[in-house]
Amino acid sequence: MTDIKTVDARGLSCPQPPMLTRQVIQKLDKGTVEVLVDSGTARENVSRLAKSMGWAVTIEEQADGSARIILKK
Amino acid sequence: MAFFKRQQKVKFEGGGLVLFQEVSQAMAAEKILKAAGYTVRLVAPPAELRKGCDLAVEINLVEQPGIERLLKEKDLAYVSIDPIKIKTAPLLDIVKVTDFGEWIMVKAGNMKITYEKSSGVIVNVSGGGCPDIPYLHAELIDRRLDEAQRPKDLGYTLCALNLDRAFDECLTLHARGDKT
Amino acid sequence: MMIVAGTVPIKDMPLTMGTVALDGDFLTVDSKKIPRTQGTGAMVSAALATTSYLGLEAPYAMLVGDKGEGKGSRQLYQYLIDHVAELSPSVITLHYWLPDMGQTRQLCAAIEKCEKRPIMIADAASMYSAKGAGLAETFDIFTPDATEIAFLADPEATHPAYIFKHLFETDGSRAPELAETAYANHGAARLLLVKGAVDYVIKEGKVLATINEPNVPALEPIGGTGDTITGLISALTYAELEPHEAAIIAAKANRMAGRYAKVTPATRVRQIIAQFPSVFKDYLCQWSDVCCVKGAD
Repeated sequence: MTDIKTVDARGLSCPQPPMLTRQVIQKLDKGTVEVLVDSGTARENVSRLAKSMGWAVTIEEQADGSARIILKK
Repeated sequence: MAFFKRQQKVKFEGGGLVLFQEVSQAMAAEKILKAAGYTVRLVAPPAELRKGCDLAVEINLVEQPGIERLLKEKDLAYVSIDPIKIKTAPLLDIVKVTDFGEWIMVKAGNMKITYEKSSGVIVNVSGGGCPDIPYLHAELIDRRLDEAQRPKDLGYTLCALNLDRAFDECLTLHARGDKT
Repeated sequence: MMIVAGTVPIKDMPLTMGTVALDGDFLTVDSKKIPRTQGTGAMVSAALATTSYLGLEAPYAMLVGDKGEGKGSRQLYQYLIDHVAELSPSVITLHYWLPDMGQTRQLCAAIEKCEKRPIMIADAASMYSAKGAGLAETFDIFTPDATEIAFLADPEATHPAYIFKHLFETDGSRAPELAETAYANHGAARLLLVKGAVDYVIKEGKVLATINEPNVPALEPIGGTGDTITGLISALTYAELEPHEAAIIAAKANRMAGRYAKVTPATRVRQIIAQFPSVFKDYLCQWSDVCCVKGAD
């Protein structure tokens, strides 16, 4: 089973969510990362950042209104 | 475990020497300074620094102004206070004045004082890093130059010495009508 | 955990530590009120403003009263020497205190025993004693001003009062050259943010960035504007920015806060600190270069 690295960016203000994500995916280079966010802005920024760095993005809406963004490379 | 942790003896690295004419003066100074809470030790001054007797007091150089003041208060004569490193530069004595229109800022070394021309009131103190500077900031701001105490009389460190140099220049400038 | 440590000019205040909070015009640490004025008070205020905005844990402050006599400073040093390894911070910022090279040496040795080496930041007299003890290269970030970069470049100076005249300068224009000399003489941290009319971000002797906008000359006379930069860079590093990124944003934010506060030479630093949340809201995304959509929720 592939290890999944988790970035919990819930409760953090912009630019923290994309900053933390960038840090993790830069170090990893490839793999699977899940980023937890609770704002539309964070969702948008993390997704765009990851795509710009060559990662595939899937968003899973959660029942509490937050989102789980899966990044794969 | 903490109980058994041996207190490591910290090697004193003062960086400054107080030089005396007489051994008795050096010994008296060491007692006075220790009683006042300063960390000091008696040392033989290196030959190239010796100006008087064979005994000197090593001090934390940054505390030079406070130590000078204390020795003077106690009427204890000394020859000079110098950095141990013989290649050290002399005390910097460069002053720069900046005119901000309604205010003048004087910089001496790493310290700056700014006062309002019309009133002679000190509006800001900036620069430095020694603990007497925030204290001097609180004591000096909103006071008129001619009412404020001299930083060298209130402070303890080389930062205060630089601030005093800047303060001195402010007094001179203000006395001659703030002409820079 | 981010540790911020230094002295405050409060007579007889014992060693006081705890998570910082804001209470009107004051900070509170372990129920003691600390003024947000020039010195470590301003530094901690700026760090707190940043961590609050980013939703991070507030700084853990270690403060002591010392108006220059040194007793408080020695207690603070000793406490850190004895406890820093067990506290194991991710960032430690050392600020105002009475410089003591011997204790600085012990403190650096104690920090090496941390499970994970923290980011080490020094400004004010902590920077003086680190350099004087020959330990500048151990540090990740220094934030010198135009005079202090000359001090770092002078291999013999143990305090900025004793800098060779030919190195001393007042306007900061020689900062890149002096920084290169400082590195060559082992007197500089890995990253320098040299504060002045132009701010320079210098990594291992090479200029990475220069920041000169907005140009706010009145920031120079205001006591504490160098301290706020140190607080900003500490918190931004704690937010896991790379040191050079933290430095660039800190320099920009400080200037912009000065513009927002419409400063004059008579402005007090707390008026600038009060502008940081607005500055962050308007600019932090753009400066951090990761946001495409500005944060609104």
